[in-house]
Amino acid sequence: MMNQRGERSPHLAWIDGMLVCSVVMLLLYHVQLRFTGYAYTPQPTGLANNLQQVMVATYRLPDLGWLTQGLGFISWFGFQWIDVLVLVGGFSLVVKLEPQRFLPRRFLGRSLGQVLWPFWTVVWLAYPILWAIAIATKTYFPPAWYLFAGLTFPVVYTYNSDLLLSTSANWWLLSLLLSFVVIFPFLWRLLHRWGRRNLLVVSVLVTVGYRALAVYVLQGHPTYVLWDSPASSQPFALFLAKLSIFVVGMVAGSAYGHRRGPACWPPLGAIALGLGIYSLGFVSQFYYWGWIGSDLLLSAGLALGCMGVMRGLAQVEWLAVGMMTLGHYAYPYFLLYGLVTDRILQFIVQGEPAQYIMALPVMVVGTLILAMVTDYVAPLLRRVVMGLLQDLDYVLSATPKLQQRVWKLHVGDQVFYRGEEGWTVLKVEKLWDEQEFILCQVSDGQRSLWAKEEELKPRGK
Amino acid sequence: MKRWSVDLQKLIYTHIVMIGLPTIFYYCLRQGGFTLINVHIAIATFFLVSSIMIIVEATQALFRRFAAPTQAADLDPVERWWRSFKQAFGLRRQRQRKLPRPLPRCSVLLVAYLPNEQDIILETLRKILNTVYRSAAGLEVILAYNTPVDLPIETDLQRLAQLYPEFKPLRVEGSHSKAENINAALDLLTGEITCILDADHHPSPDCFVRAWHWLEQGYDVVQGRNVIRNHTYNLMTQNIAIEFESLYGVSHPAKSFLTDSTIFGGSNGYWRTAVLKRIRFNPMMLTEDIDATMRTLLSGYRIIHDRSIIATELAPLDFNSFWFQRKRWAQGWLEVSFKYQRRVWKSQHFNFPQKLYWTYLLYYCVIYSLFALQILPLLLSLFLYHGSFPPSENAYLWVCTVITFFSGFYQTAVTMKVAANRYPGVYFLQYAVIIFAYTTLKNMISTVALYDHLHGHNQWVVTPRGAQRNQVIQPETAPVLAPTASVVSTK
Repeated sequence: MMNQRGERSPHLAWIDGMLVCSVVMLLLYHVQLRFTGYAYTPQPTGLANNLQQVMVATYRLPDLGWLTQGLGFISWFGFQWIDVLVLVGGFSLVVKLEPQRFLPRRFLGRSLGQVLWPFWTVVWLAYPILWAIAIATKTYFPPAWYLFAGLTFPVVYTYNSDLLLSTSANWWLLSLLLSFVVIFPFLWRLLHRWGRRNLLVVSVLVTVGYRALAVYVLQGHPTYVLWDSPASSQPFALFLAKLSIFVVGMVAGSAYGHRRGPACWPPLGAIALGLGIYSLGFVSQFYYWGWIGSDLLLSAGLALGCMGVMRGLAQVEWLAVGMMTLGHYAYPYFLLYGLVTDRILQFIVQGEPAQYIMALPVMVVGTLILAMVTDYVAPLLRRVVMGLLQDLDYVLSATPKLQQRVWKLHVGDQVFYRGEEGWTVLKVEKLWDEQEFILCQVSDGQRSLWAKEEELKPRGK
Repeated sequence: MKRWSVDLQKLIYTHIVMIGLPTIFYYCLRQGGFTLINVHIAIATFFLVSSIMIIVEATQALFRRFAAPTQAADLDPVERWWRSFKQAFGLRRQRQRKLPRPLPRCSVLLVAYLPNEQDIILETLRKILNTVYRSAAGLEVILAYNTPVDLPIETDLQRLAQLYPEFKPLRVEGSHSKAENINAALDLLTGEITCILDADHHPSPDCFVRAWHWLEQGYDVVQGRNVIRNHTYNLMTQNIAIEFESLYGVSHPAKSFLTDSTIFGGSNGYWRTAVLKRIRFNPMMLTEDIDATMRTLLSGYRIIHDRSIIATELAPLDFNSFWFQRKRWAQGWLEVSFKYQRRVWKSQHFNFPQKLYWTYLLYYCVIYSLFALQILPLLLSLFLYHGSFPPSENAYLWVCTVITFFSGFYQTAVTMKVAANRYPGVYFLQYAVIIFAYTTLKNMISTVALYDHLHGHNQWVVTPRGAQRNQVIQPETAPVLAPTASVVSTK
């Protein structure tokens, strides 16, 4: 789900489609729940009782025909797309990695940056705006401690992100995301050491075992259920509760690398199997015993079905391009939708059914526009902040780093320029800046440019 | 030719972000009962600091003439007091010190992009070859130029080289920048002093003699004063002429007076050739001159500004050229600020006042252009909230406002006093009137430059010279040196 522009392959456009579908469904779920005052969440009271409750809640929604009623019915179960995001996250990370070039430290630095910079951008830009809105309208604004937790996250870190919830309810996923980023190198190693099947079996056993413990011993309930239990939803916010979902994604990704596994199945077959698995999960989520495995079944079924549909749609070129374009904004979209929809519901909809229907597309598109702005601003903010930190580091460090020259450049040398092969040195210029430094004019046969010596590497090393 | 309107989208975007959104933000806060007086005071303080700096610089430029300490120790107290008294009113005459060593061999390094500057280069060469004083050790003039195609003017240059043996035209193949042209010519230099000039710069005849005074006293670079010679063309050139008088007659000398360091402005600079050959120019930088300045100062070399060394140059004639020139300058300063500020803080070659002053020139100026703009959303939100501009009762704000306006007029008045030329008074009047709008325009350009810098857009747009038309290169045209050659030969 993290931003990875430039790494998208047209063959994987359907992944972006799944991400887009997931975050939009999560938005609809969130909006519907807030608008109706949590009229329905799944209860461990059996299938029939839940169907009855969900039908009642759906009939209370503004009615514009079977389409809105159908969408309303589906949206009650929009929380399930969180697990699809987790599964797709595992799949994407594996698919985009090159096994020979995997360096845990570099992976962690890069992935944490991809999670945190968009989040910080949203927080740093949104807090002043939310504060101004709260001041102008004399409405709720989170207390200072919770703002501090958001501004400094993950310095103030909790395993379930409960300190972030007072700002945006869906930000609880952030701690989970960070957990999976941190344990990914370990899981990656196990994937290659144990093999796909063994890792899958062990992870499922760990998850099922932990969830059984969470239900029967720790006395908790899933995060999306409103239920009175001693431990509340806390045990289910820990990454162990969703470990196998992430690993399923990893295993599918690894298999896809060998052109095998579910991602290579025929779309219709995947949809059919997905429906079957989803049905099992759908029923089981309404029972205590079902909480042990329902999330895995629901996410696997939903992901298979969605993958089948998206792969079919991605055959159409413009749809594939659209998926890839929008998929890039999925993560900032996820970060923003709670902030946007809560304000629109509070200040514009104000409980009016007609306003609600009209505001729905505004919320979907408005969040997308703000996600684009966030995506645009995040790298700029990163540059400014990193520049200032480098300044600070330079001023405070006792021994500023001096460039060590490890090879001598000559005109005609074949070099890599920023890792790119096929460049030749045309000119070498020695300048003075407290010490000698070298600039080279390099050419790839079609264009020439000036480069610093540290941007070049000799070919063959 | 690239039009400034290609940046219109960026201008609108940056100003929606910098003005539109803050206006809504401030308006919301006003709705909630905030008066925002503290924000107003903070922004006013920014203006106040800048205004005080302008007043200090202008006063220094008005009352002092030499950056180096004067040798007054051997004077009797009455004479010393009398000199101080005259100095306070700027009445002391220019004193030329005796040269300890005769003027050595000098080099002029003239840099040109010929398709753009082919109309003016011969005039500049004639001026230099015929008017600049020569030392007994001799003078050489090197024209380092680049051109994408062969031009008829190159034949003229070869003929001129036959007439003047001290003149060497050097076509730099593969060059795309001024820095590359200069670097290519450095190995050919034989003078002990090198003057770097742009193609439109006409130096004064005694430039080397005056520069040598400072180089003999231990300075490594002397920056002269640039004056606009086409100021009569239109309102913009008139304005730029006064702005340049203010920059080169007030601001840059004041840097020298206050901190004994200043900038090399890219042209009309006189270098010890050995230092120049060591520092060289960085073709990756947008303002290679400011980059060279920083590397020179950080390496422990000294730069001084002497406003008595005058060169005339051409101002851009239209808004398009002005826009891209100023954007490049603004972006170049940003680039240099981000690259060197931290090193200035850490450098052993800068004393504390110099560090403070260079922080004012680098980082402070970067954030100033952003903060200064905030006065607009603050006032707009006030207008939206009240429906008018209610007068403030805060004395500090009034003081800041008065000092800010005063600084603009005072700087203009000082510029008028120290100007190299006797311009019509109306030039100064209109400059004083439009200085705030002009500064706002430059802040707007700086904001677009910041946008470009953060996005890594650093294309160099050449400032058109001469006929100011879309340059169409026509290699078949006949050489145009004939009349020039005759002038030269009859000399």
